[in-house]
Amino acid sequence: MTSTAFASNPLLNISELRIAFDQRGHTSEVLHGVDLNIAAGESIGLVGESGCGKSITWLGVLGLLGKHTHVTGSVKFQGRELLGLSDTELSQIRGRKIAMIFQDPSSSLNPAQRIGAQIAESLSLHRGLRGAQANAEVLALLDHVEIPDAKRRMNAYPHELSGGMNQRVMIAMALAGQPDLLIADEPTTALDATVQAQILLLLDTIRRETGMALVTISHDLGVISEISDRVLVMYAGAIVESAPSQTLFTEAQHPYSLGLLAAMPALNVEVHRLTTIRGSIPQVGQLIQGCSFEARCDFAQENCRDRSPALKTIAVGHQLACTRKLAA
Amino acid sequence: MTVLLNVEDVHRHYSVEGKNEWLAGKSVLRAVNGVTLSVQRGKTLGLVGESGCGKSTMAKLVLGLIPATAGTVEFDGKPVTAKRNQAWRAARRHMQMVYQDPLGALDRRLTALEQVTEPLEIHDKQSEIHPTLTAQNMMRAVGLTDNLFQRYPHELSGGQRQRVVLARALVLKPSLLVCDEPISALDVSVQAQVINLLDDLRQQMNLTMLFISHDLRVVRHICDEVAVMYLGRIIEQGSAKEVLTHPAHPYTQALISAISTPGAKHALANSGRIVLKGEPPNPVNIPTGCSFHPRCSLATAHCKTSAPVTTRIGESHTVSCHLHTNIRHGTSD
Repeated sequence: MTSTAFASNPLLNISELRIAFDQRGHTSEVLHGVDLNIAAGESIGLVGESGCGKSITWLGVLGLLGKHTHVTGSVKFQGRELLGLSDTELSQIRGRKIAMIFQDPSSSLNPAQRIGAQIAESLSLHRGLRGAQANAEVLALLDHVEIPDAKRRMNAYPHELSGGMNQRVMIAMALAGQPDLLIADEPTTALDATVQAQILLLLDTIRRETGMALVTISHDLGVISEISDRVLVMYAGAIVESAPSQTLFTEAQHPYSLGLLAAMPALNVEVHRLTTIRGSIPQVGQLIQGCSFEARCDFAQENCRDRSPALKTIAVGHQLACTRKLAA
Repeated sequence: MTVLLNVEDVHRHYSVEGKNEWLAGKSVLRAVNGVTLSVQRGKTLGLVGESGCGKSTMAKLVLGLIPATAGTVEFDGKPVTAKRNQAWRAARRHMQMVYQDPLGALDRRLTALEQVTEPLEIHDKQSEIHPTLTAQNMMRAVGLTDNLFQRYPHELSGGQRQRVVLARALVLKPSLLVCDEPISALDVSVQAQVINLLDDLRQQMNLTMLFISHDLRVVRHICDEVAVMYLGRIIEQGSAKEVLTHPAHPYTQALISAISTPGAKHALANSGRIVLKGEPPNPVNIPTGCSFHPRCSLATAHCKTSAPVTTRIGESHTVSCHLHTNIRHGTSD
């Protein structure tokens, strides 16, 4: 659909995914029809501001949003439709085939259980490993995520480890089911700069070694560009631009992508005034006529208010949802 | 140029219960371990480093929120003692703070306007005739529109909340503003707005700022000078341009190298990138000699035993690293 490489080997195929929440008698839609294909072993990045739907997309895919949500559209994973599956059926896929790690490792881990036991629990759930077999695998996983002195550390509680170490434990737990797809939701936001570089390097190495696909969600364009082959920019519940990472950083077309790139201060460029995107993101549930970015856009024209632009291919692997194609 | 803030060899130690150590009963955590710095009036000093290096403890020491274990802090020529006395209260109105998490820093039961008016009612009871009017003017100056004045913190966006925090800090027209990670809780596009605002206000109000951040790009943008902290000490200091474009300390070099640059795909695989091993050690057990030596790829036997002294390597550029003391000995300088 997007390009031949993805169509020939699709791992995950999301089409027209819409998510709406029940709110006191009415529903407000937060995700407005997302189309997305991921090939086996591919690394994609998802950027956007808080509330743009980048995390919600994945919680919806994995059926983690609870009762008062309406998830419609289609999510095909290895050819199998995920939407509408029962919780029992989904639990065969969650953690086993698709694993997810979150921003704050210390709140995702059980504070009252040793980390070795927490990883062993994943192993027993997903691969039926127990006892000495599970223990050996825990050690191997801790080694894999480069936790030194794994034998001693497997008996530690999360509070005895640093944030970076805990994030490594989370990655080890996610790898326990040998997933085909790993979703990393802001994996380094809570970590220090030097540790952030270590974790990114680790995720990248593991992806290359195991051949799993990796989705990195972040608001940091720098993080995304280092680890992803393809970048999707989301705004107000829709994908507004999709491009190979190199292309996005040199030839971004959507005014929002351009704004995000320009808003970052540079280290080696002489200090000048930062470019800002005026205003702020629209409120959830706010009814928007036409393009959702129109109110903040410097290039907005009359017809931007008429209808919301669809995602269209403008070059090989490069898609854009903007009525006005900017001059290169 | 006059010096507004002067910190001389300040220490702050905490005693902590030893855990998992059979022999150690109580041990000492050296959060700040001998910091000397000064900020001139109207200038901005950036304090950078990883979590646990003592940046935020420095902020508290500067404001006199906690007493120093040793050393002195002087604000406008007078010592800051952290005794909650008349002199401290009088000084406090001239030094204000902006925190990382604006929602946590605001009172959820007060409207935006009430939050900004409150400092005037506390400090300016006599002289301020129209506190509400002054507060409103300040709020407009930080870019809050009139329709937001009566809102509660939860009804505001992250960027608007941080503007309220800024207005509250600036309404007393302080001479020193301490910002502790003021933008790290905000989204990228909003970060840029707040940075520009800080830049404008600094010039309009002739503010002196101590700007604490782990984001070197922002520090480069907003600060005149920068001090890099590691385990309670300043290991490199100088003009922001000089330090961040020609870093001398291996730790500063690693910090700069760790910055992700958009478009630098596969920078990870490049050999040019310095990825530090391990994590900052616990400030309870500070390594001997140069405290950075266990993570430093250039460390020698000498680094393990003797602590480096601060060496001047440029007009306004100092570094604490044996590599540079050695280089210095080798040249005729």
